[in-house]
Amino acid sequence: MSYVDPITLLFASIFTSNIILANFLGTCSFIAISKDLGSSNGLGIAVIVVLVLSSAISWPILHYILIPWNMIYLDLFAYIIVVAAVVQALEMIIERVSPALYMSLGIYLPLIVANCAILGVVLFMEIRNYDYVQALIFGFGSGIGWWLAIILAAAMRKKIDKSNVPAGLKGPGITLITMGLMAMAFVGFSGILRVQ
Amino acid sequence: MSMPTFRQVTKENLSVNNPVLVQVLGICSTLAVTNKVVNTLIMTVGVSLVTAFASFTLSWIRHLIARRVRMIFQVLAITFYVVLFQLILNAFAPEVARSLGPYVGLIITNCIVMGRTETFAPANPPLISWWDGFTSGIGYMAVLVLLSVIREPLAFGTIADFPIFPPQYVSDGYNWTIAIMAPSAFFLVAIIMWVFKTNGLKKEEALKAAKTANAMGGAA
Amino acid sequence: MRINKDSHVFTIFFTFAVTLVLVFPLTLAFVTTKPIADNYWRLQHWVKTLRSMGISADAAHPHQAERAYQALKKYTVKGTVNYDAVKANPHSLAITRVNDEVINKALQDTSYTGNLPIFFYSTVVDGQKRWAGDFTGPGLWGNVSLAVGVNADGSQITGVQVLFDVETPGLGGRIGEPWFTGQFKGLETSQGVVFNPSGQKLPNGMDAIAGATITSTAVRDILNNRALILLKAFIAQKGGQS
Repeated sequence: MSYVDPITLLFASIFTSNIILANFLGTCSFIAISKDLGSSNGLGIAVIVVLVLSSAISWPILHYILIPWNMIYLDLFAYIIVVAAVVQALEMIIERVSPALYMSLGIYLPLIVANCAILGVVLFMEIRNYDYVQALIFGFGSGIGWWLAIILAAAMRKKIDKSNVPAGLKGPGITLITMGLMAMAFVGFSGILRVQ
Repeated sequence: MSMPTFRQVTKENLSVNNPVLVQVLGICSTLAVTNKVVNTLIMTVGVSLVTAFASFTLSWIRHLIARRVRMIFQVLAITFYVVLFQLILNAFAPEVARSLGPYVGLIITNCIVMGRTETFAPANPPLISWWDGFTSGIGYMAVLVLLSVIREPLAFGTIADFPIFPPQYVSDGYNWTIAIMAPSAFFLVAIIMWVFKTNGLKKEEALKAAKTANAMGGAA
Repeated sequence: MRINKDSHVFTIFFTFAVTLVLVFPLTLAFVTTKPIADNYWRLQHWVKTLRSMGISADAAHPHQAERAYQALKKYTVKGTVNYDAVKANPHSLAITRVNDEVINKALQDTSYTGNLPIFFYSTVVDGQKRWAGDFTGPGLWGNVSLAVGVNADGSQITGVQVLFDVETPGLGGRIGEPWFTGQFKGLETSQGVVFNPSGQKLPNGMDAIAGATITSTAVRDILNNRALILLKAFIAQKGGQS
């Protein structure tokens, strides 16, 4: 398969193949959290950290354990344990090292395990046969892309809160419509650059 | 807190607290699979079964799990059932497994499964947890099937692969490309949510009005 | 003794125990279901390879399909393929005969990933030589594996069948549907396959799937950058023999 150079991959994973707006992964926590800008920032940063760490750990597991031992059918099992373990460990470390950071970031950590974006990125890493550097960059770029998308959505929701929306559509309803429009805009990006 | 009954759980999950319309969970897969009725049905059956059995299992071992490390057990149990479902599909319904592709694996991170195993299962006995998981899945199914019944005719001119529009609808390009693509699901969910919530608000108001009337009557 | 469920030792031990307990039935399920999945994948492979060469085959008659498939001459490629080198010099591709056992083994290894090695087939249909091959490339979610057949001089496609894909359901996943695969029959190969401009049908044009640009492009690229290059080299090397 053709080799995608790291810079292109980074750019593509942030913009053109944005994990949430192009692949629609990680929408649940996106909708729940984007109502507040500060929380969105916190969750976004947590997602970046977890994505990089899980890609870094999953890649060796895939290439040195699952493939040589012919246990590829357990891939989902291995990845989700890695993701959950990373989140769990991060939660414990942050709690001990910096209680202040724990107060602001800690509550979002459990949400990340249920974030399809993380599992999706790790699966993409396997499916697209990335090497170690590519896997790390793709994880980092996808994290940045997710962070960017949730910040944008949170900023827009701040504005929408002040507008006159029908009572039944307030909250999640109008957010979904906003996201639909954002996603349609991102479909346009996919023509510029394509990564596989 | 008193123990919830089976009837209460059913009502909660199917309407009052519908996982998609009220709790806004499980949106990821809502978007992608709902352009075909058949795919939607199989996917939601999978979600219902996985949620039910994962809830059952976690409720069963709930006394052995420390609250702090519960997450890892949740995902272990959920992944177990998802991989099992995937293996069974691969062997006995390979066509279906193929048409759902990567989305079977993504049931693991379906927020509905995570949500029920996080909130309901650790606090309740196994049987009712099973029922809670199952009905949550059914509530999810109801909304998704509704979506797919709207999207599939617009997109492909069929419902569950039975043609309802003449073949020219697709071959001459009258079909709605937007209905094929994921963003249309965002808009449709929002519209369904709107109708659902407006209904709820009306009922609430009627209730309030009745109460005020009663109170006035009492005063007089 | 009361279990202290908050202790680290207990947590770690219990996690391992649960993981083992869960992995065991999964392995059991995998071992029992794999032969069934393998059979399906092998049958699909027979039927679709034959169809790509314009030979009718049906999964409902597995024995007929197997006999017809066994009658094909089969080849594979030695080592890794350098597509640029093959494009410049078709004879640089190292092609060798393979038997059915090698192919069956390869099919067993790939029933869940679709990551098939390259196999070539040749046969005679109605007195005319036919050439075909299995080619795999990256799609949106995973491998897309195609069986591609061409006529005696390689100037026209006789058929394209999708052996394996895990594309988005309802979007890219529709590449397996007959209306999509059927359009490749008779396309000219000399200029490579391109997308039809809207409302037109070019002699080497295919229609993309609406809303599934990446998957459609993946199919086009597998055809142009792998299948047609290698089939040309295959014909150049084996076309002289009867």
